Amino acid sequence: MMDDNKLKVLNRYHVVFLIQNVIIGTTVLSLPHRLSSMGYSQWWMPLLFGVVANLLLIPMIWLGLKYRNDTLFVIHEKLFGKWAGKTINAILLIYFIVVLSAVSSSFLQLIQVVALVDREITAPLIILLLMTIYIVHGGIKSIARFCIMSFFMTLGLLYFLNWGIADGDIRHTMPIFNFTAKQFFTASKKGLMAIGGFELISFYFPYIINQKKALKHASFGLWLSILFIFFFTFVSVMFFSEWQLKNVLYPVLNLFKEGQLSYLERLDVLGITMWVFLILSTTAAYLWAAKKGIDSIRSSPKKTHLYFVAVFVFILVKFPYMEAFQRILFERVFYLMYALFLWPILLCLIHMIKPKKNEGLE
Amino acid sequence: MKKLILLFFIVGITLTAGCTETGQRTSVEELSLVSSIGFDLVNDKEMRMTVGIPQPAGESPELTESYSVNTEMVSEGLVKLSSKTDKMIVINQLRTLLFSEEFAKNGKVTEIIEHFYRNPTVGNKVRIVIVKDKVEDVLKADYPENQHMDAYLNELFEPKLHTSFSPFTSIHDYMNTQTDPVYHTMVPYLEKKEGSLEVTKVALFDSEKLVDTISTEQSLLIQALVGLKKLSPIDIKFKDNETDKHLFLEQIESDVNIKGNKNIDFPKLNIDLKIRAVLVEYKGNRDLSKVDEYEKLEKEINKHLEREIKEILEKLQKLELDPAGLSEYFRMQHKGKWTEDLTKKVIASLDYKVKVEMKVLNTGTLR
Repeated sequence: MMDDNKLKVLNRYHVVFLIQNVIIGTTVLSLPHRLSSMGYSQWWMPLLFGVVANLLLIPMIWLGLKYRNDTLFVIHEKLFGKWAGKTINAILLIYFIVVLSAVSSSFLQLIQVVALVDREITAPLIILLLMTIYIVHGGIKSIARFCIMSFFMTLGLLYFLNWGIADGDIRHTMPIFNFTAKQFFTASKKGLMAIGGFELISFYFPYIINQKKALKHASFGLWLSILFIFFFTFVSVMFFSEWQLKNVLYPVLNLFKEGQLSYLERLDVLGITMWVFLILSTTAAYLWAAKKGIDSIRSSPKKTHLYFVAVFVFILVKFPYMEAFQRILFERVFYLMYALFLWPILLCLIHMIKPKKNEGLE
Repeated sequence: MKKLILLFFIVGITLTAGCTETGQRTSVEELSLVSSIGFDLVNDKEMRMTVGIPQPAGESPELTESYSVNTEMVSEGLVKLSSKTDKMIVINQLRTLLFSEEFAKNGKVTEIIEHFYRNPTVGNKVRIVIVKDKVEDVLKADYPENQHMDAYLNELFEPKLHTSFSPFTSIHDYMNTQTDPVYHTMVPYLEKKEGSLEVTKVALFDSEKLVDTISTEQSLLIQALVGLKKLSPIDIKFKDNETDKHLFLEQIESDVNIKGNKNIDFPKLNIDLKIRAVLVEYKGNRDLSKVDEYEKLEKEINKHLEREIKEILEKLQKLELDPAGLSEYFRMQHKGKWTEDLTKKVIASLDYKVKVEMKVLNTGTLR
């Protein structure tokens, strides 16, 4: 709260872990399944995604450096004028709310299947949202601090992979390029969403202290999480048959199931419960961005906006009548995410054209 | 500060609401935790399901209760069994799944295991066993040495060194080998002998059906080819050998190195097996205090093991089965989709060279 008056609050560690932790959400748990159209050859796909994301970071940060004190919402209003900008921001806001709902609902459904069989998810949903609000209350710096904490809390999950490695078969990684163009396309389309989350840097960029080095720090954070995702995918390829990759919905959870400690048998339940840290860091960042969205649309920052967003998310997740629509919405919203990946490139182009026009007018 | 108090208040409310839910969950005392389920064949449609339920000490004179029922589907059977016992049956603590040989020969095992694989409450550590005669008899019998039948079964199929010939097939292993076009499934084969149970053989599956069994000695060699690092003790009986008769090896460490020739039309494999072991018993006419005699014995063991490995590989070739995953060496070089037919083709036409290098580490502290 004491940072409220100061705009620049994020140091380099904050940037690294904000990028790293926001990326890992529920999608990682199902990524080997999502990439399964490529069969065993999928194991290097996370690395390719990493390269793509790293390239996409460049225009985002370039744009940020041109508007050092503005979030993407403000940039929209500056580039497109007040009303067009506000319209785009409203669409973005809706997008954020849907992503928030999609992430929370997919995680809670998983909890319901694995840990809390035959219980209502209403109470866990309320608790999750309240926790998220609590984290976001402290502003972007408190989210970043939470990200650092959850990174170290969940790092131990990597240890659970060792049973999968012991029982797996490294020969599955060969041949490396055994797929058709169509299979590659399907896998990319379904899997790319696993790296969603880094694009939020356009929104918290003005809060970064050392903006010139932001690209370096952001790339570091990005590759940290790509490595995390890569391990899970690689071990899944070693451990499962192609049929299992295609048919097991959450391969990573099944990997956890394989482990056993002398005092604990169902590591998958522990794993999925620890995963809440990764979910909270993701939802917190999106909630923060959504709040900034309402602030910019209503042109006044208010804490109550947080609760608005949370209530919308609650309604969207619990709305009883449109389950089929909801499912399609939650799956398709990620295509909008791909558009948002590319959006800054367009903004950069517009920015490059625009100043010349201004000069001409003056 | 006020906000913080409000927050705690809201969280407190939701948490207490969670505890006083109207639909109370059943407590552990009211549940029957099944630890083993057996399946026997009745006819084409029906099967006979037997469950073993361990009882808490002191509650019942029987340490393990067992019930049977005829059913068409697994869940249906569990519901029927629930009405037989006084408590609700749950399978969270399932440890062993047993199938009669007849049942497995009918090719029905996979659909049942898939049912358990799908169920998130079942752990992945559930072991699968084929039983020689009726499973019901195994689960309902008395074992004077092991009163707690369920714990006995569970112990029997925990991976241990002296039983490392067994594949210890878990639900995951079964599904993995069933769905992988390279591997054929192996499952330990259990026989009831008077008052005890014994893993006597290992069952081989051709896709979904049990087709043949191999001895535990042969299965141990397959485990060595798969890449198991520590093997159970080997008992070697020489045939047609005048100087050496019988010896026993312990603490065996094995290291296998297999190379394929990347050609699926004329597949060739070089199998190099390095074994280090302690010689604990020897019957024969060699004077083992002499170094050259020692080396000669090692060579004899090498020859013997090479012959054994060739024998088992020949048997598998005849059956066109690949439980050791040898065709994986060809799949990893193959572009396009690999099918089970390709595995069969590779195994049937496989040409292999086997070389065993055995090193006896010591013979104990006596001369």
